[in-house]
Amino acid sequence: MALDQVEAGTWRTRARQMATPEFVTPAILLTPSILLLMLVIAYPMVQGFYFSFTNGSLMKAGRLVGIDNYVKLLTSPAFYHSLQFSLVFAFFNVVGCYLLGLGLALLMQKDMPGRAVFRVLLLLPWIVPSLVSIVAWRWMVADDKALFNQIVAVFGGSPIYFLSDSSWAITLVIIIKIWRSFPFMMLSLLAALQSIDRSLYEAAAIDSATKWQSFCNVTVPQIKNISIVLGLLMTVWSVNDFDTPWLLTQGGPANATENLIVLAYRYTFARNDVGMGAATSFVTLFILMVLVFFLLRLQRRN
Amino acid sequence: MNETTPLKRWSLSALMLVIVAFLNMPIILMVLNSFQTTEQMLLSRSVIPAVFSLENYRGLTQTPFFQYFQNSVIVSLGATVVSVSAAVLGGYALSRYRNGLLQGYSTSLFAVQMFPVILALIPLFLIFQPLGLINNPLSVIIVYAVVNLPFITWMARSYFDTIPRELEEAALIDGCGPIEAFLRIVLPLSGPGIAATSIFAFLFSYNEFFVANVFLRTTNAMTLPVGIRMFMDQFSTDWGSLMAAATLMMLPTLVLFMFVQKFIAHGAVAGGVKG
Amino acid sequence: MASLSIQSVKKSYGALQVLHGVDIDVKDGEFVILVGPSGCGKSTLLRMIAGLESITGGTMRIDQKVVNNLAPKDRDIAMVFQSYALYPHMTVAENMAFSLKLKRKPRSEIDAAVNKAAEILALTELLDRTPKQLSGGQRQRVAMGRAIVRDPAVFLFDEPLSNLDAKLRVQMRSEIKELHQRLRTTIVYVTHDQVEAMTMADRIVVMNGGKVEQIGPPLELYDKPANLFVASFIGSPGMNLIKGSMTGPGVFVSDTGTRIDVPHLPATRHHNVLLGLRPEHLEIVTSGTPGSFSGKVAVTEPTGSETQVNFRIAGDELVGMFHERLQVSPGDTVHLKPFSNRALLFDAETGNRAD
Repeated sequence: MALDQVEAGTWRTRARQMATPEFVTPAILLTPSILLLMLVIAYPMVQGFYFSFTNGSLMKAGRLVGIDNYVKLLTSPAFYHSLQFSLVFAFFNVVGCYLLGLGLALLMQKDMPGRAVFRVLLLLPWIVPSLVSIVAWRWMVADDKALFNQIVAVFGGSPIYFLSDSSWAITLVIIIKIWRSFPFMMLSLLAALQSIDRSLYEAAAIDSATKWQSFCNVTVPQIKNISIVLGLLMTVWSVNDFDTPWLLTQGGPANATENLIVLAYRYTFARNDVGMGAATSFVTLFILMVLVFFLLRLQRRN
Repeated sequence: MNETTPLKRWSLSALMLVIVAFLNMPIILMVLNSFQTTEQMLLSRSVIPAVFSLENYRGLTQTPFFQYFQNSVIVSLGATVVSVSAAVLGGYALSRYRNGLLQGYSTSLFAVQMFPVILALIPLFLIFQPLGLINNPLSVIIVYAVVNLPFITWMARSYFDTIPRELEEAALIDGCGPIEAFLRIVLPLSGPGIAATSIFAFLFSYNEFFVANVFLRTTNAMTLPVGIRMFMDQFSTDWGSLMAAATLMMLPTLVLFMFVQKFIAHGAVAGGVKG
Repeated sequence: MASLSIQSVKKSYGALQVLHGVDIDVKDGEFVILVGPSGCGKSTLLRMIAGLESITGGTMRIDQKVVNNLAPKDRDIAMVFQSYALYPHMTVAENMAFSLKLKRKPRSEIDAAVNKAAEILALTELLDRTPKQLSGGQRQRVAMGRAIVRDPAVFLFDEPLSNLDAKLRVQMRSEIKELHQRLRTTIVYVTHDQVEAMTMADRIVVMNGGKVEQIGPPLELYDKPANLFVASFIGSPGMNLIKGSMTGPGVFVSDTGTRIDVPHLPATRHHNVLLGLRPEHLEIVTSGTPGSFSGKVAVTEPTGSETQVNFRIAGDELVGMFHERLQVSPGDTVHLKPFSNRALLFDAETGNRAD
């Protein structure tokens, strides 16, 4: 009989969860949230989709122009440049955060005096407002006597003008983004590491595994799943990041650090072209959905 | 075989101290420099201020800094009230009930976090404009409330999950309807959870730049991030005031963070990942 | 006080059916205990009586009134939870007064009811404390006090003693029974502990796999279990069950060849039967006593006042419980004889009683 097959404990939990088939009470409780979401997300998105097929400006509505905006966008070098930059930015951010986050998480696993304090202090780059981060970093790279260039001088190099040199600006913005994002990665990985059953390590030790072998054969498989999920989140957050590139150089120098969001913003608020801005936003959404789809597939295969 | 001797533990601490200091260097430098006048900063370029001065902070009184701060607080408080109210109700529903509607809601809430916010900002700008909501804190309050809704709802739901359902069942038997049970029994017990949730909501709103930048364009309306950034563009050589402004702006964030940092531990973040 | 009528009640969670048509009639003032193994559906049934779970099929009546679609607060029931579910932010007095406060009864009436219940349960000194400050046993009494104040038609108890230590449990058992005798309330009580059921109930409902196996007073279930499940469930240590067949009236022969004389049992046409013998219905006799059989002692477990002995009889294992000290050791051969008229016969295929 079905009951005998189901373990008593889980059956009871599941039963409790299905205990209240009421629809009225939860519907009432959800109404404010759903109203907000409809008003601020759903309705504007529908409107925005419509706008992406018009040639309006911020001042006046435009006429429908079919898929002109999308064609213009997908044939413009600016789009491909910002797409490339978005992907490069996301890739290095995820990899950098992961390595730094994992390294720190492994360290933080160990017992040491003041560990709790360190954990809090390591969260600061994440918790501090984006603007404050940029102000702080700017000072370190602002001119030829800035701290970074002082260090460069020690190694015998000539000053780097980070904010006005394309390649260095890209490098810098990626470094800053890693700096702002790694605490989240570290915390999540630390949680994952701490949930690994200790006895697995003990068994490995009895099998005379070295620390490295232990890491590869016990740690890595256990955190594979969460790592993929974190990677997915980080990717999405990176692609969606407006603050970091904009606050640092406004997408410059010469649009070097312009990602898809900055591009959409510029179309709308600098070029006053709402249609293009909306089209860029939707194309970005599409790209994100594709990325998420593939990353989820990767997770499911694990 | 691998006993952690006190020496090992203390060397680890020393190592961590160096790492933490190194990683936080940008912030540390900024704070230290806020106590040097701009001339001094540009001159000495030393890490530790040579001459300690409060000049920058005094100078801030000549700027609209306080106006920006006021706007930030109003906007953050407003957003917190709206989003926490909606999220507490929604989080409770998600915690106590299961059906298709709720599952769909939970999934869409998670998905919405993935959307680039600019998708909604452009149309919202056009919607708000004729309503006179540009440069009005209300526009930002509403948008923040929704942008924060997924995370705040999830926090509220996690908190309610820790309150045993038997209490509401006892209340139902004692004579409460379901919503009354929520108001009379669950809410009074949720103080700490709601407080933590509110602080997070406030923090996210206070720190936010992009949305505020789009909707608040005049000096009177700007929040701190927007105002200070404008300052950074206009007076790019006035490092002193910039450092002081940034340091001051960071203070409420740090203070509030201290209150909730234990909630950010393990479950909080990892659970958010699972949606 | 009122009667409770459960007619053909069924419960399903989507495709999973957990209660398959339950019929129970609880009389006014009766103490009925639902007992059974984990997952048998007893807690679900209790929660359905309370209105915390919906009723998928059948009819539930409290005091003749159909309550299937009534909210818990409209059913005139009170419940004592396994975890007590005391409101942490209220004092003991406020916990007990809550339901009356919701009904907007006058202050004086509320105070009178609370004080009376507190007196019955020896809680008067604890009225101003919060649940945090109470011990397990005290919290349990407050939970009962909360129920008493409501003066409901039916009292429901959901394994209230499970969280208490053994000694306290024994004490609370008699307190609850005494309370019932004093207040003469209708009680439906759920437990997985058959000793609790035997000592407290007017009638016991044995449940298994979402069905009622047997309903009856404790001693009836003990003396005349309807099937193998009830026979094994009631009584500790469990009933001995030996496979074999009746070769003639009064004669049982086990599959391993042991002959046991059971004069009161008829011959049957069933050849696959199980002979049920409770451990406490065996006596040790001298060799050669008519109607006895022999076996070897495997293990002895003296408890001070009783001795439990595990025997090996040919290929079967038998447990005996003797209310005296015995001078037997493992390996000894002893002769056993069942008490007359206590053995039971069960059909091996259906599990039902065959005599």
